[in-house]
Amino acid sequence: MTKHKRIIESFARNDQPLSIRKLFTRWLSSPTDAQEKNEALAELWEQTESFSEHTEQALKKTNERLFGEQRVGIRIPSALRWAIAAAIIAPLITVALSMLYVHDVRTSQSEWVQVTVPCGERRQLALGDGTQLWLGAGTRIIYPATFTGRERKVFIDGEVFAKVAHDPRHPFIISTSDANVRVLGTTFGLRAYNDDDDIELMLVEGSVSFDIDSPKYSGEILMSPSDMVRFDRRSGQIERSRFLPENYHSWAHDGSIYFFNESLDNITTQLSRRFNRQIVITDPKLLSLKFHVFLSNDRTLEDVLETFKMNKSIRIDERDNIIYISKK
Amino acid sequence: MNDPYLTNLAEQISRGSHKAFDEVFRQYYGRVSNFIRSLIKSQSVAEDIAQDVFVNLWNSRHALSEVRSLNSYIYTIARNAAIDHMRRIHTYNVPLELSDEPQGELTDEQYFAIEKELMIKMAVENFPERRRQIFSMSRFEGLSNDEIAKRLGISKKTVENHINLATHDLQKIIGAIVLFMLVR
Repeated sequence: MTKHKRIIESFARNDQPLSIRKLFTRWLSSPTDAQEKNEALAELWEQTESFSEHTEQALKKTNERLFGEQRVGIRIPSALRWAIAAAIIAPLITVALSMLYVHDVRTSQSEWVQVTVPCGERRQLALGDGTQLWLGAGTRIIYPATFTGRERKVFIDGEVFAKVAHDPRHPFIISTSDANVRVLGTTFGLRAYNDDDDIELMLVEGSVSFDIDSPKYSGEILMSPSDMVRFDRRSGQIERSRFLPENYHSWAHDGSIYFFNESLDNITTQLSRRFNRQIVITDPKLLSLKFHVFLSNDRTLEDVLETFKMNKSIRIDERDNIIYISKK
Repeated sequence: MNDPYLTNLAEQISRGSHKAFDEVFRQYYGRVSNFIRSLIKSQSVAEDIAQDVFVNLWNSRHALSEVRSLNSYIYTIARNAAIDHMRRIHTYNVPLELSDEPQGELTDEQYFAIEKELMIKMAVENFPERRRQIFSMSRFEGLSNDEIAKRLGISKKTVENHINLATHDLQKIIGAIVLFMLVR
C-alpha cells in the first residue's frame, strides 16, 4: 500500500481531532504527489458505502432548491423501477456491443476538470493542446485534463477570450448550454452566461462556425474576422455586425471594457460580475437604453459610471454599498 | 466500467430529463455524501455539500452528453467540493498578519515534514488509550518520564515501556524515520 493510500484510508476511517484535520487539509491540498493522492481518493470512492438513509429527503430538498415548488420527486415503487431499468438495459447492451465493432473503442479515460472564477476576478488557463483561455468573472468551465478523441471539447457558462491552438485534424469546440463555437485555430471572445438573455461572439482572427441550438433559433453561422454575432435568447433574433479590431482590445489582456450597442440592463449585469458589486436599475424605462462604451486599460467601476453620468437622463447614487441607476 | 445504463441516464439528463436526474441522484447520493463525510467529518455539512454536487451536476448538465464515465465525473465533482470546503475552513480563514501558520506554497522540506507529522499523529491517535496518553505527554507536551509517571500515578518503568512500544509501532508504520526521544 502506498503511503498516500495509507494516510487517506486511515484519515477516512475514524473521526479526527481538529489538529489532524488541519494537517490533513494542508497535506492533501498541496500539489506534491497529486496523482498518487487522486488515485488513493478514487480508491476510497470505490470502497465507500453507497447506501444512505437520507437519500429521499435529500432528493426532495435538492429538487426544491433547483426548481422551487414545481417539482417534488415522483417515487416509483422499486420493483417497477428495476423493471424499467431492465427494459432499458437489454436493448442498450445490444447497441453497445455492436458499437464496439464499428467505432474505435476509447480506452483512455480522461479526467474532467472544473474551474469556477469568482465574481470580481479573471483567470488565465492553458489547456493541454496549447490553447490559451482567459476566463471572465463568474465563469464556470469544464474541460478534460487531456484531449482524447477527434474533437477538443470544453464546456463554458460565462465569458472566455480564446487563442485556440491550430490543429485542423481536431476541431476545437466550445460548448455552451445552447450554442457551440467550432474553430480550427483562431482568436475570439465569447460571452455566454447561462443566466444572461443573450450570447455574443466576437471574432478577431481565423474562422469559426457559431452553431446555435435553442428553442427559439437553430442554425449555423459562419463568421469571418471582425464579425460580431449576438443571439438574443428571448426573441430568437440574430444580430450580425462588424467591429474594428483595433478598437477591440480584449478585456482578457488589459482589462478593457467594451460594450457595443448594449442595453443598460445587459451592461450592468456584466459590470456586476466584473466588479462583484450590486447594481440596481430603478426605472424600467432605462433597461433598454443602448450604449457604446469603450474604456481601455484596467478601469475601476467608478470610471465606467462616470461615462454614464454624461448621459443627461441618468442619475447614479450609491447607498449601503449598492449602486442605484435612476431617471433624472 | 462504462455502464450503458448510466451513460444513457447521463445523456437524458443533458437533455433536461428530471426523471433521469432523480434516478442518478438515488444511485449516487449515498456514495457522494458518505465519501464527503469521510473527509469532512460532519454529517450535516457533508449532506449539504453532497446536495451542492448534484445541483452543480444539473446546472452543467449540457456537459453530460460528452461524459464517458458518469461515475468518474460525479467522483471528480464530489472530490473537488470536499477539498474546497476543507481548504476554506482549515486554511485561509485567518488574516495573514494574525496567523501563526505559514500560508502559500510549501517547500519540499515543509511538505514532507507535514506528511511525517500527519502520519505520526494519526498513528498515535490509533494507539490504545494509555499508550497514546503517555506518548502524547512525552512527545507533544514535552514532559519528562518522571513528570509523566508522577501525573499518572504509575512507575517510571511503565512509562518507559509504553514509550518504547509506541516508538516501535511508529517505526514500523512510518518506515525509516529516526525518532529522537529525550530521556530525562
